[in-house]
Amino acid sequence: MRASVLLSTLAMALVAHATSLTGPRTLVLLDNLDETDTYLDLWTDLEDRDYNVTLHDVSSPIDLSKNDQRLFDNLIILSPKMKDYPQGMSAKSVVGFVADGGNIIIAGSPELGNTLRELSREFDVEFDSRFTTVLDHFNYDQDLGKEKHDAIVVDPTTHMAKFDAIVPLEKVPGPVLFRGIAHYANPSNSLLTPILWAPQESYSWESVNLGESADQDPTISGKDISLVSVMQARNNARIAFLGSTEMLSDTFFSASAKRSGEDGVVSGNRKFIEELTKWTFQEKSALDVVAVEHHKVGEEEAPAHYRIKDNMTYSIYIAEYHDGEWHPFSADDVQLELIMLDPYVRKTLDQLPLDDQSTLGIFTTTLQLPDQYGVFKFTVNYKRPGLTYIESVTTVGIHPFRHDQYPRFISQAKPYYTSAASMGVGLLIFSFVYLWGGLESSAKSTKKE
Amino acid sequence: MSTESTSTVAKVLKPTILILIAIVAIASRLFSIIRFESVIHEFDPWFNYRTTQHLVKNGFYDFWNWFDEKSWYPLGRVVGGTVYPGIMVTSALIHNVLHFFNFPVDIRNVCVFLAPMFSGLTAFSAYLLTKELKDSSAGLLAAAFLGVAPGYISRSVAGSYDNEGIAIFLLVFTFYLWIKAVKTGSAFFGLMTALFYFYMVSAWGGYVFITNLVPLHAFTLVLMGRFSNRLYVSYSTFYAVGTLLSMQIPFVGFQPTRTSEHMAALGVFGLLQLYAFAELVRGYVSPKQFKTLLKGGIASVAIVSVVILTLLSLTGVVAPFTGRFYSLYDTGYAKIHIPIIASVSEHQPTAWTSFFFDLQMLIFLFPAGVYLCFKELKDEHVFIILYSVFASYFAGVMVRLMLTLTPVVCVSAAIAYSTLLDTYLEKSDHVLASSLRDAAAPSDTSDSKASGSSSKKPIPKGKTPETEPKPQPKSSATGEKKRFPIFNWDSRLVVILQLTWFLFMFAWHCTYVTSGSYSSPSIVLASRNQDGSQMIIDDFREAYYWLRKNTKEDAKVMSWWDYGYQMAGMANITTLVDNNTWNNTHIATVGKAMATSEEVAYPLLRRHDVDYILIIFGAVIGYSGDDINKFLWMIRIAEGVYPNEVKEANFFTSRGEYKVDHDATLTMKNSLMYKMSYYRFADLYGGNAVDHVRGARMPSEGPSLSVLEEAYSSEHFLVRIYKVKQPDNLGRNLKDATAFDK
Repeated sequence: MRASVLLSTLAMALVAHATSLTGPRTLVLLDNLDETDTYLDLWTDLEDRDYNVTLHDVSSPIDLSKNDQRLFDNLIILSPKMKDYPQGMSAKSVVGFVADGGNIIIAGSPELGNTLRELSREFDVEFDSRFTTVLDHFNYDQDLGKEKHDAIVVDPTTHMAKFDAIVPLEKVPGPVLFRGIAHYANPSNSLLTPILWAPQESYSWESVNLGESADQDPTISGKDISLVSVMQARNNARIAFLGSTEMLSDTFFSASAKRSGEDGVVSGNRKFIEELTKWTFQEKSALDVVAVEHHKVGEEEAPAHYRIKDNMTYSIYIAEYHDGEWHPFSADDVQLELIMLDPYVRKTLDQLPLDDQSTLGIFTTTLQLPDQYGVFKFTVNYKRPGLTYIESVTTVGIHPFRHDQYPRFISQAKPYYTSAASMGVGLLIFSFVYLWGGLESSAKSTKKE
Repeated sequence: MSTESTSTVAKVLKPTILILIAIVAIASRLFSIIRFESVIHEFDPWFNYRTTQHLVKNGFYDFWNWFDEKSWYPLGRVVGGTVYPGIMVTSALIHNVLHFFNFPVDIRNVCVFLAPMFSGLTAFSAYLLTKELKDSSAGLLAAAFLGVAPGYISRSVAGSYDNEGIAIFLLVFTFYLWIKAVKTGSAFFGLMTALFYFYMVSAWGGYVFITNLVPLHAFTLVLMGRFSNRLYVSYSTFYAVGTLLSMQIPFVGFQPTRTSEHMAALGVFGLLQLYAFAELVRGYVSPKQFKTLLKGGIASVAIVSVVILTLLSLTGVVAPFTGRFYSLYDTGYAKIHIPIIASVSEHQPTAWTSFFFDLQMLIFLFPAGVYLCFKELKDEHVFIILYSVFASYFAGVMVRLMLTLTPVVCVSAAIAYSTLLDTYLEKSDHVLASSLRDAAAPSDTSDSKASGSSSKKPIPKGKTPETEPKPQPKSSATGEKKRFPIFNWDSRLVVILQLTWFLFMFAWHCTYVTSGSYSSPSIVLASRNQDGSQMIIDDFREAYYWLRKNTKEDAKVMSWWDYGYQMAGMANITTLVDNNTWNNTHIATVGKAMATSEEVAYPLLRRHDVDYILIIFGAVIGYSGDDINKFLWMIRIAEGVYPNEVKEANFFTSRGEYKVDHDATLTMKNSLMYKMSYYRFADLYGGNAVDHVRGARMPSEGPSLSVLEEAYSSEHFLVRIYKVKQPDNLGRNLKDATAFDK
């Protein structure tokens, strides 16, 4: 068992030569190929990480998949103005692309068209109306947002979700610059998480005629405005939504963020986007359950079924992918549940200490099975933001005692044993006495009757 | 003609006739095989068949401790402890014996032919039983009657591999042994009774009938002042050994000491001990003292036992009667309190026509036979009278108990019929001769009584011809006294011809009923095309085969419990509920999932890991036993457990009608069962669909499904299988996701 575990890890390490776990084929949709130059740094960053970037404009046809096989592993939609999908693509094919395990980054802008708006709705992401922009008169950037106060400076220490699995705070050196459209991530969708949101003072408003006085409230403002949201679908495909194409551009990458009255610091955009693409394209935070072992205490092999109240050991081997290699996964909150309709046992697994050699995180526990027979699911349901969902289910039957597995003699029944034995002995004695014990005459008399 | 030669002929004839009867009994049960094929029928037999396969494959130890993970998912079922293993062990034994002699018979064929084989044995034991009551000619008649009576055939055609198939043989044979034991007072026969009682306990839950009827017989005999050492010996042997043996069956366990159904047997056992003790005391004290002793004794014993019984019942040591038992007293009981029992069609009260349908002329010969028993009224006749009274009552209460009535009807009808024949067939010179012999008769009868009729050994298929001559003259001699001679050949002829005509009619009727009503395997349906040719509807097996081949090995399939055994047997998949209706809550949960809307049902389906749902839908071919017609029971059973979430009233229209068409209530239209049934049904007819079962014109726009998708519908839409969708990949609710995919 253990040998096979190691082998499979090795095999995985070989496959994992490409930095992205999903694959390197990346399609970028642009409104116009002229925009290519806007994002030169982004292409460089991606190609440095072994991606084959295909740039494509929305007017020419393209297929995402052929013969039920994905043709691309990752999709970056940088074409907010898109009115119609390129020939060969549709909302269904994009959703199907996700269902096939492909990752997507969708970037919007104030000129966001209906096509992407409707697509985002399938992911419970609602972009604000066309031509609206996130405005902030307090946190705007002195250089980029001077005129309209639309390039806002977002402080990652306070306005970024603290999920190290997605974008770790320490990797983002400075504030993130954002100029684009607001969106609302529906909190009832548990797969969707906003990771960057707008400052309290910001609001979303039409950016074309700012001079006119407002006669109604903005539809969305303050912290409700999500700037960047991510979703990990149930099949662990990852999708990121950005309200701004510009935050990916060379200009924003190299700009220095400067709020009014502050000194400029280098913007964190480039690092932020790097971490975000790393996460989205599954370069990190991808977990894999390499093996599940369970057996009775003192045995090695998994039995076909257990008996009630058996003592058993359960182990799960989890590897984590980052930096192009599989590493042991570490956590202290992995739980095992024994479920038959309801959880009968819920126990936190202990991680075995790691050494230099270890390639897997081994989580194990020893427990006594419940006094209840049935078909149980040994479930590890480990879902943490940013990490691959782990739902490992091992179905094992727990059987009752066999008829010869009960104790043969029990002390409580001793009076009964005694009475049965004495009855037997008494009958023997009685028969002897009756037949041969000098009661000859009475025996004869009864016979005569 | 000398009596010698008559008896020689009889020696040859009797076994021949018995063998012929057995052949007829077996042959008339083969309609289903000839017409369809050698398959296991109906529902319960599929479970028996599956367990038998397990037994043959894995051996007895494994069978005894079998924990079936594939049924009642996820609860599982302790099969070894919840099954009457008699029939499986019997067929496995036959299978192994045959294989030992290198007859490579498939276990399926053993199972298919088991019930017909045992029906031959049943006929033989009916012969033995009736012979004890009257004579061997009546015995032969009884054997013939029981061999072909539809009331018994209904549960023992080839392929109907059910407990009753062997249990009726055991019932009759145990009764025969009991009568034999009471007659002879032999501990050996008491022991044999106990052994066959044990076999019966291992084979069928109906053993409770023996457990109560035998003590009742003993009790009645005591009341009639017929207490004897014979009764004491036979009953004590039977009860002590039989009870101990019956407790070896895990499913019965400690019931004989704990449940009310078994208390009568215990009580009579105690009573007999007291009575015997009293008899003993009477031998030693004067009559006057004895009278006082007796009065005091009876009073104190009665008080003490009543107090103890009440205490035990109140403290729960002795379980009160089970629901199934209550429904025997009050036919309305189950309907109100335990819908699950009432929902089973075979637990319904019997329609009076089915008495005639199942027993034909026997039903009016039956009272005559009972009357003749009253006239004789020996110990064994008392038994038959009690048996007929109680079996008649039970058969009237529950359809399936017709089965226990049939043997006694055959026996008493045979007595009546044979008495008629004796009266009218007797040659006049013979009658004269025997009336001349009347003078000698008293000594003859007294002789037979003195020897305790022990000389009347059963004739094991004519293998002991030495004892043969005796019964013949004796029975005619005893019967002769009450008879008046009929000399006129014309009056005889009229009666004889009429009786023969009845026999012909009976045989014709039995064949007709067997072939027409009781030989359908119910897993294969046969119908007639308009041109009269036969059309076989094999949708069930088609769908089960699809499940077997197209689902993953551990797929869980939800259906109403009726189809659980068949699915497990034929499709080899995991089922949630099946015909062993031991867990009402689990069944109610399935009922709730069927009766509620998609949004409510989906979490339930996910919780139970349901992969597929199977329903039966008869509207296309007009199959009335489909799930929409059973739906009310699902609702009722679900309401019993989840009264807040399922309400029967919501499924009826404001006019109190159960409708499926335009008028159907919103709850009905939203229920999963309705949606699954009529999904794409209207499309089948281009929007102009008519439900042929309920005669309803369906709306042109059928229901839509979002949490399920159609996986398979059989040729005639009889079986429809739906796959339960996984939660949406993007976290949308499934309704939106389905709308998006369209």
